[in-house]
Amino acid sequence: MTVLFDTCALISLLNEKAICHVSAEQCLRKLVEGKHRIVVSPLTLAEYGVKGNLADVYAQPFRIPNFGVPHAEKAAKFRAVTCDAEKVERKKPHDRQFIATDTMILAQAAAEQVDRVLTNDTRTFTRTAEALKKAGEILPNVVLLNDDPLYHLGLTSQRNFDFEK
Amino acid sequence: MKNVAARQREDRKTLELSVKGVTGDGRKISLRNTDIDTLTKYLGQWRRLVGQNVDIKLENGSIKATVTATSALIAGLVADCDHYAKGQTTEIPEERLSVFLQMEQDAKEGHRQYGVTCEGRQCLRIGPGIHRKAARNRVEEAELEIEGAVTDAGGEGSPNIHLFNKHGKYTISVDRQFLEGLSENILYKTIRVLVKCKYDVVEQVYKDYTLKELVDMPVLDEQKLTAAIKQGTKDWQGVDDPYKWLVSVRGGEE
Repeated sequence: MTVLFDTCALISLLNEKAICHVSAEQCLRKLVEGKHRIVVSPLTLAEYGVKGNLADVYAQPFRIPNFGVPHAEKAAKFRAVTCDAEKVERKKPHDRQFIATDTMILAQAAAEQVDRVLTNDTRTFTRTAEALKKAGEILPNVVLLNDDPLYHLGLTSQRNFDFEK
Repeated sequence: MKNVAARQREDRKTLELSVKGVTGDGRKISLRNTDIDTLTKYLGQWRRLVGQNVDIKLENGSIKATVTATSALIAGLVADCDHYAKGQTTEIPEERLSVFLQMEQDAKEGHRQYGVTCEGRQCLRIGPGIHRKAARNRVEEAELEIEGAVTDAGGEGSPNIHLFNKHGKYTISVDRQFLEGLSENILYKTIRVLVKCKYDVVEQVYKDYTLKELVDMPVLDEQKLTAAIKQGTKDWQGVDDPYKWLVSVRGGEE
């Protein structure tokens, strides 16, 4: 299985005070234990590097595939879909229901044969993935760090009901 | 002398657009057993092919539409169908090409067959197992990591390995020295490789894989992780909810 850590998941992993730190660390450990491929997009590096030290990211067992032509092509297609969806779902003229970086990260995930994307973004990222799926695009499943991620990644068969609200 | 309206009426032709396939329980797809979202999708694709101001009539008994439009429009679409079948995709307007490519992808994934027929002649068929000539000159260099089970390794003239995973089978060219230098038998084992390949921009597929390197399985370095978390906690002080911070960096959600 290939799992992509998005920017929120990466910050959660490396910041002990972040709300989903424990979940993110558990996921990393289990994924490594299972010899799964763990991917971080260069776009995530561009965001993590704003405050964080990128050397800390390189020191982890992540694969960092280049963002190239296949990804750009897919990202453009995805963004066109979300632009169309935005016109429909927008409540006010300047509402931003979708964010370009999300479509680019999802495009890279789709082009890199990623199976699951790990995030704690329950809003724009999840919304973008849903809009793309609705338009018929094939995407990896989005797994939320605050919703029993080990279970949803298929790394355990036991549900952890502590995540139930 | 005929008036303009009469001439325009005479100048109209019809074209048939169709989708064939079977439902999950083996019945032929029809208007009755296809959900409204899927029908809307087909209709949307057809509208993008022929334009908004053209009569499209759905027919009972199958998923078929009859389009009545000017001869010029029909001739243009028929010509684009021919271009598409011959792989001359650069000749096709972008909007129409994107519909053909979408149909091709849907056909592969949903086992559907799309057809365009004009005056009894089938101008285009898009379906699984129907291959058009590949377009040329739209290929970019790319890299890809692939994980899969090795189902074959060797070859006299052009050594290669075959990797198999849920996305398909990959034939990857390798150096003879690579195969000779392997310390263990990789046959039927799962390996991870980084390959150089070509990305066909028109077809949106990777091809011509050449091994760049074997990729090691991930290993967690406890010391490095602990140090990174210590440093990260310092760097990200005050950012307890990464999502909120990210939204502000990206320019705000709403």
